[in-house]
Amino acid sequence: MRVLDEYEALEFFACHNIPVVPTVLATDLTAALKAASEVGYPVVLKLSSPELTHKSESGAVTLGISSDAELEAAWNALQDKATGMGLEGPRLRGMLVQKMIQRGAEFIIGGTRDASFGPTIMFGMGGVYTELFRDVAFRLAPVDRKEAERMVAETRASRLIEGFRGPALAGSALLDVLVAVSNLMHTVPELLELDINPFLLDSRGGIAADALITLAE
Amino acid sequence: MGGTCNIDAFFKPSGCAVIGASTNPLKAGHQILRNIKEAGFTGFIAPVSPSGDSVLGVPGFTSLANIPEEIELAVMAAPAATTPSVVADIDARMSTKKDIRALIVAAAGFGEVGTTEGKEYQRQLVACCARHHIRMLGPNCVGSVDVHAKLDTTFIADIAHVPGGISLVSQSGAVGAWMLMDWRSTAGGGVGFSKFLSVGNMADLEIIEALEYLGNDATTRVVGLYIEGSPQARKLVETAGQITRKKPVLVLKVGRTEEGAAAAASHTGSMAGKDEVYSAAFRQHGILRMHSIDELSDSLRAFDSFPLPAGPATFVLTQAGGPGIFCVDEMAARGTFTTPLVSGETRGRLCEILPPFASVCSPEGHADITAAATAAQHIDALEVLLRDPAVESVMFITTATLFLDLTNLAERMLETVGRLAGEGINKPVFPVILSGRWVKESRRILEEGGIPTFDTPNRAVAALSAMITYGAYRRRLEDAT
Repeated sequence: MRVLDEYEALEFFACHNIPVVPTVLATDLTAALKAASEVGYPVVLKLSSPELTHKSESGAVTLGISSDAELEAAWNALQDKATGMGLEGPRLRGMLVQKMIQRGAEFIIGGTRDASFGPTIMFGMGGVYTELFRDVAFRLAPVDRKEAERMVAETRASRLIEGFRGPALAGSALLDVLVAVSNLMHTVPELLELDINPFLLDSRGGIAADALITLAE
Repeated sequence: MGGTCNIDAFFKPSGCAVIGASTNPLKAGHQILRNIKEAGFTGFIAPVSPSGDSVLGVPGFTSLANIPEEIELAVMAAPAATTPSVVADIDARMSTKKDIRALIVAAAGFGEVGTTEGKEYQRQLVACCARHHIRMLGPNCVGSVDVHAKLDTTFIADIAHVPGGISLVSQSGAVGAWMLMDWRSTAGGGVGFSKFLSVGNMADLEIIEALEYLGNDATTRVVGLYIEGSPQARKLVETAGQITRKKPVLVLKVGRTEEGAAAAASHTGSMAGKDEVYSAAFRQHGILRMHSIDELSDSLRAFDSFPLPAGPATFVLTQAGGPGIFCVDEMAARGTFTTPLVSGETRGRLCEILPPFASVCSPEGHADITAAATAAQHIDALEVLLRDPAVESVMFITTATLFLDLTNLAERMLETVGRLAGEGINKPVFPVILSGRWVKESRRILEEGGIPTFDTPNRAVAALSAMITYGAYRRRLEDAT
């Protein structure tokens, strides 16, 4: 079993036509500054290590960086953090510079391979409280758009998509991703588990902002 | 394993032998013979025991090999420890007659106990059956029933062999027995059914193949399944999902497992509880998940007896305020029902028919006809509602008052529902007649006339909700093609 962290997982999804947040891996500060000017401030800086799967819990993320000076300060602070956690050499890939997306509601799109059911997918309310609220629905993969639509409709989160105290969200973009993820789970037997959390959705479209994949070896 | 066609031998054998037949009424080997006789089996019956005694007047034999007539089905009621001699007897018979096609192993003490001997006995039976192309049910099962073929090989006491369209497969013999014995105690004295299979240890015939068989069985109109889990869960739901395209499949799935959740690396892995995936997979394939024996039993009866409702619009016709409100609450909580908006003409007719204090369509989809309503007023109102195109089903609730002629009410309901069906108006009417011994006679009349009755509004609501959900699934499939 091998875990693909955020950087590798987002690359994988981008290769399969699933929209992902603009992400650059930087191995030094100069590269990070260049990346920030490319994706545009504000940005997010994250430690990138195959050993870090729940970054926000370990404090390995700095949000809302809006200038070169802030980026440099954040870089140095995270570098110290990594050293403190013993993440050095091959255990630290570098840092991810990501466009900070400040829009949309947070959902989770997931997949698991069950011993008796085979590939399944999940959709629900995303973000850090996903496990607390458990507002999720499951399906056996693969699903077509109609089945994906019925799956989404089983969650309370679907009311956000219809427009809860705000405009309706781009449900069609969400269904595209659910169908694509279900097809990946169905056709790639090495995929054991995957998470896109959060998947950010607003009225214009959706984007994967963080991801994790577990592969069979 | 043979093809599914060989499963027929469990239900329609030319002759049937009971190994371990006993004259002691407390033994399974006695009750099985009693059931075979009581169900009216017309083929040859052979009790087999070391003494060769007659049982219940049926002449006995000392071995299978000695039976001159054709035996397609053998039922092993003898203890597990006799397995080597039973296997030798089957071998001896099959070396000359080659007629046994199915073996039911009722005895326990095989693979399920986990002992070396138990596993070895099971292995010997499996090997023997494979050698002779015999299909095996069990071990550790309560047997099988085919009411239409008049064969009952179970050792369950007191089964009512009433022909019907329900077929039931149970992973637990006790749950199967529970349901079949409960059906005897219904108001009508029995629930019509077709086939029952207790699969036990599933050493050969397992649930998925049994489901496939019932899916293709012409006398099975609705399939009930009790399972604790399956290592081939996807194949199970996909097989059931093929059946739901033509007939309903109702599943009572028990046992929740959360193992593995803690070890999962992803959020998804930690939340994909097995039970939730079962629920989702069932829904995806139009399989109806039941949550209690009552719900399973009531819904099976409803599917077998009532026409499928055209849609979710359900009118609540109640003679009493409280039970009616209780019913409306239950319906609202399900989220499957809608309120029919009846025509002005229907409303006017109801006001004409009903007592002056009746509350008609206030709120919509509901009429409280009051305790002053006579049997005729109940049924005339029911007819007016059934004739309104907006009404797709009726929940009919009445309570026993001293002056209400319930027998007359039941007879009128049968007459009216039957007459309207003759005119092409086929809509389910779910009678809830409250309550207890006082109303038993009216419920008996309805049930003997083919209309199941319900103990409580919530039980009727659960069964109708299952029918509405399944009707919507079938319409969705039709729209997709």
